[in-house]
Amino acid sequence: MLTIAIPKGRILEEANSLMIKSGIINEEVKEGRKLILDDQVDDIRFILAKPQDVPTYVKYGVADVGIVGKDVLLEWGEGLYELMDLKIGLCRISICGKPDKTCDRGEMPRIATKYPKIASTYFREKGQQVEIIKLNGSVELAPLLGLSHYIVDIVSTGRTLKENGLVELEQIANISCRLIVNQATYHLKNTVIEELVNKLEDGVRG
Amino acid sequence: MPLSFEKPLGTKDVLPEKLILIREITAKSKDLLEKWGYEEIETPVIEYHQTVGLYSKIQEEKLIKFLDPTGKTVILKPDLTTPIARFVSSVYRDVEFPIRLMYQGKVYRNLGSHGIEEINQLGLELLGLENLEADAEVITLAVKTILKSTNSDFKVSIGHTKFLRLLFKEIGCDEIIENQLFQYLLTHDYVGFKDLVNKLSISDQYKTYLQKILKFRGDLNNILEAKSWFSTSDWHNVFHELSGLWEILTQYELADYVCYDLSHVGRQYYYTGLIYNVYCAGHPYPICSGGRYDGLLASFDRPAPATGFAINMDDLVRVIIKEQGPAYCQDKTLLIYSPKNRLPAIKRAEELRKQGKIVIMALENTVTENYIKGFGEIIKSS
Repeated sequence: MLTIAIPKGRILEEANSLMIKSGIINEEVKEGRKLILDDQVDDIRFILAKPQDVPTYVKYGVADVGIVGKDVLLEWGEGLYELMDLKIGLCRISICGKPDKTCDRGEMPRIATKYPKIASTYFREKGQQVEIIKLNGSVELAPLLGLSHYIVDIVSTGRTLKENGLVELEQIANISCRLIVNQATYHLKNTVIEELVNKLEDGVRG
Repeated sequence: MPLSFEKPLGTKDVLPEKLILIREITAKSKDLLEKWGYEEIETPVIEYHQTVGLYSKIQEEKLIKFLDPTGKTVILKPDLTTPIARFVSSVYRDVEFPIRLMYQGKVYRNLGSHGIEEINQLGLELLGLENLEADAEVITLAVKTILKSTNSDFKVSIGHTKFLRLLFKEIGCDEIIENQLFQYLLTHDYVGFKDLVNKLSISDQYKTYLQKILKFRGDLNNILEAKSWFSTSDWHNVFHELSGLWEILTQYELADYVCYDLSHVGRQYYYTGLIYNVYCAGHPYPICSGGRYDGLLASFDRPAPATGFAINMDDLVRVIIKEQGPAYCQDKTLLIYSPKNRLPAIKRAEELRKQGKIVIMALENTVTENYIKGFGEIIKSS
C-alpha cells in the first residue's frame, strides 16, 4: 500500500481531479473530519494534513509520497525527492507593499512574512540585509498598520492585495504543486513510484 | 540558565534496552570485520581544526569548534575517516599499504539552533588500493554487516562521481551551470534540474541525455544505454568500472542487495569514484554511506587511494527495534534476606549467578510491593 499526504482545501480539489484523470483513483478523496482515508480499491492511503506538515510526514517516512506547493518546500522541505511539477495550485510568491510608501534611506527594511526562510534567502542573494518579522496569517495587515515596510507572501489572483490597497512589487518565484517522495521509498519501491510518476505525467499532459 | 533536568540540545541519554542492542550489534559487526582482516583503532574525540577540520567532508558550519588550552582551534570529530587519514599518514607512515582499519565511536555535528548532534558510527577504511576489488570488498562488507543485524529489506544504491562530471564536460556546461545542476541533484530537486536543462542552449540530444540520467536506476542493464553516448576513454572507463563492479558483486552473491543510480551525487570535492547509500525499509533516510575518496590522504602528505563506509548505528538500532521490538530483557531474580541469614543468602545468590541468573539481593522490608512486581522470580532466604 502507498501512503500519500495531501493538504486539505483548494489543493485537494485540484489534486482529486488530476488523480482521477491520471487513473490513480476512481473516486474523489472527500475532506471531512477523518484524517486518514483508505482507498481499498486502489490500495492507497491518504493522509489529510496541513500544507506545512506534508514535507515532514514524507521526510520521516510515515507517508511515502506527498503533494505540496513549492512555497512550502522552499521553506520547510529538505531531505526529500522532488520528482514532478504537477502544474496545479498555481500562484507566485512575491514582495508586496503600499504603492507609495517605501523605506527611508539607510533604514533597514522590515519584511513581514509567513516564509522567513524564503524571504531572508531572497534578500541575501540580492545583497540586502533586512529584518524579518514572522507572522502566521493575514500578513497584509503588517504594512497597513506600520509593522513592516513590505510583505513576502503568496499571490494568486491579487484580489486580497487590491482590497487592502497593496501592490505586487517584485516576483520571487512561480509556485506550483510538486510530487515529493521519501528517500527510502524512492529507492526501495522504485517500480511503484515509477508507475505513479508515469501515470501523473500522462495526467498532467492530457 | 538551564534547568536541572535539561541537557545540551540535541544530545540523548541511551537507556539500557537500547544500549544492550547497540553493544550486541557492534560486537557482531566487529567480529565479522575482524575476520576480513580489519583492525580496530580509536582516535581522539578532539582534533585540530587546521588539519582534520579543514579536510573533512563535513561542511565548516557543521563543525563544533572551541579553543584548546594553548589557544589553538580544535573540533569535536565530525567524522571518523579524516582522523584515520591523519593517523595513517603519520603514526602509520611506515606501515605498508594496503591498510585495513575499522572503528566505532561517536561523531559530533553542529546543527545550529537544533544543538549538537551526537551520532554513533561504525565503519571501515581500506587504504592504499585503487582497484575495483577494493570497492567491491567494502560494499560487500557494508551489506554483510547490515545483514548480521537485521532481516529488513534494504538496498545499496551505487553511483559514480565521474559519470556526472564527465557528462557535464562532454556536453560543455560552464562551471556555474554545472554547480547549479549538481546542487539540484544533491538536494534531489528533479523539477529544478529539468527546468534548468530545458533552458540551456545545448542540442536537444544532450537535453535528452540529461533528462534520462534521472531514470538510470536499477541493475546493470538499466544503465548501460549511456555507455554509447560518448567515445572518450574516460567515459568508457566509468562503464568498465560499473560493469566490473557488478560482476564482482555477483560473485559475492550480492546482486539482490545492490542497484545503480547514476543521478546519485556525493560531495563532489571529496568523493572521487564509486559512491553509495544504503536505504533500509522502515527508515526514512540512508543508514549507511560510503565511497572512494582518493584525494584525502594527499592532504596529509601521504597520497594514496582509499575507500570506506560508515554505518549510523543509532539508525540501524531504530530499524532493528521496529523490526523485532525492543531488546529482550532477561528475567531477574530477587533474593530477600534478613540480617541474621545474610551468609547463606550470599552463598545462594552466588550459586544462582553461576547458573547464569541475574540476582539482586534485598534486605527484608526495604523494597516495596511495586518494586517486587518487576522480577521473574522471588526467593525468600530463610
